[in-house]
Amino acid sequence: MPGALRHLSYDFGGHTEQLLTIGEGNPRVLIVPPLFDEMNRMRRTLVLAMHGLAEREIGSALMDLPGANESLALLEDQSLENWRNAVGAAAATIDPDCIASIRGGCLIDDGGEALHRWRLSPAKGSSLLKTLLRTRIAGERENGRSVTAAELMAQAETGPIELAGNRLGPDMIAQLGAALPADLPAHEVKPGTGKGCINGSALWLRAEPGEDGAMAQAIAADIAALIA
Amino acid sequence: MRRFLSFDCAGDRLAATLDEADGTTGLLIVSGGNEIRAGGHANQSRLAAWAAAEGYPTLRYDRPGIGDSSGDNRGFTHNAEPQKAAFAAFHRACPQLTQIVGFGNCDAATSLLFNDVGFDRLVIANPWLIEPIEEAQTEDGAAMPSRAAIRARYIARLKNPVRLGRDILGGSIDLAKFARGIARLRADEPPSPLAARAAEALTATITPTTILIAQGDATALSFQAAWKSQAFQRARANHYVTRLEHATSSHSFSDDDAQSWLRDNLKRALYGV
Repeated sequence: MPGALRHLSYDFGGHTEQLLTIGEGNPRVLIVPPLFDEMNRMRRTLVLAMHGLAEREIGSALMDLPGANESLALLEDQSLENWRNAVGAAAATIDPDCIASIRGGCLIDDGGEALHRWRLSPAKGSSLLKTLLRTRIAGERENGRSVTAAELMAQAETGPIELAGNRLGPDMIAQLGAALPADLPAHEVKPGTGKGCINGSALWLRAEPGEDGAMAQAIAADIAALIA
Repeated sequence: MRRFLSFDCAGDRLAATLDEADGTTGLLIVSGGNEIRAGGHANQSRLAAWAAAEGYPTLRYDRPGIGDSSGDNRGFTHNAEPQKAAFAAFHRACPQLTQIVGFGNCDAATSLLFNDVGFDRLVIANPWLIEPIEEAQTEDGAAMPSRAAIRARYIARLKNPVRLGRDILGGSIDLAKFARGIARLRADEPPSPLAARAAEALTATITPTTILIAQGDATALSFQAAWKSQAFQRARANHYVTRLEHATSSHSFSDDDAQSWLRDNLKRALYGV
């Protein structure tokens, strides 16, 4: 693959966070990843897409959200508002032409300024929250315990709760429940065939991380076409 | 300080994270499945930061074809070269290291057992011994867990009649599946090739090896069944091998209690070399 990994970074909330960069020169695209473990499942494909962009002479940077991936910040201290501001800090650092977000990343991409905005399968916060709650409830059932979503949401009002292995604070949970992608001009696509679609699959739904090389190439081509 | 580095492995460029510390014993964390080096919900990222705060330099890397690394994903049985390359890269990045402990969960645990990399000690959790062919499919395409896991689950349900009743009435036990599962328990099962290989490795090893078991985890249950079998008799007698169990159903020891237990045992291994 062309393009070695470059390790740029942005400062936010008292921590230095990773901006994984591929391609020479100042990256033109800031990638805002999916949230929570959807990022794990998409990461390989996003990195392949970044190599695809580098092949087209377009540098890109994939940001770590505070509390996620290699970040040393605590996840339970985060909220969507905080993450929005982190996107702003990352964008201010590299001044991209395009902010490209995926799934829950589309809920926070309005934190930064750029000429172009690209979105892949924007997710509603309430839908992400529902999935997290379901995972916790199913896990409890496995252990012979029963807990309801209402009980968990009540607990979440006064302190962090664990959902699908993620410790989430009250602000994060409240904001997730209400979050929608900001109503801003954006080029939006989803995997599939037909208008508004790119070649690919909903990798974020899989049980474990995988790779979709064709989707990676489709992502690269679509972003490149947008910012040409 | 946490920093990122890359190293070569058979023409691929692998991405890694180093958590620096002053100690001379390092921890190399090997990832399981296709998981990125940060781990599910960043659990390995947090574990590495903790180990370094305790004074142990810690390295994690993405296998070829995983996460930020280049190359193709050929599965956990092709982890010998990457592990050796990571081991060497760790020494280069931290020249003060005199000892390295290897830690892995699930199929990473198994791959650490199979590869002679030169670790001074191993901590391997819930080793994966399940062959791909063993995953019998149901009509809806869902893989069935191993015989041992099924047996343990049913015994647990039978011991909890309130829950059993609720599950049957509530429809969350598929009675047909239940019956198929019971039938499967009666069939004789010779050790799988993976289990046989693990038995051999555990019999022969002179690397102090601690096996950590999450008692309620399906993968671990499968290992436990193998461990208790005839094939593992000599492995059980190997004084270099210690097996410890903890009451959790979390495969990755993610509940607070289990995580504490995991960390205590990692510290013991790191301190013990």
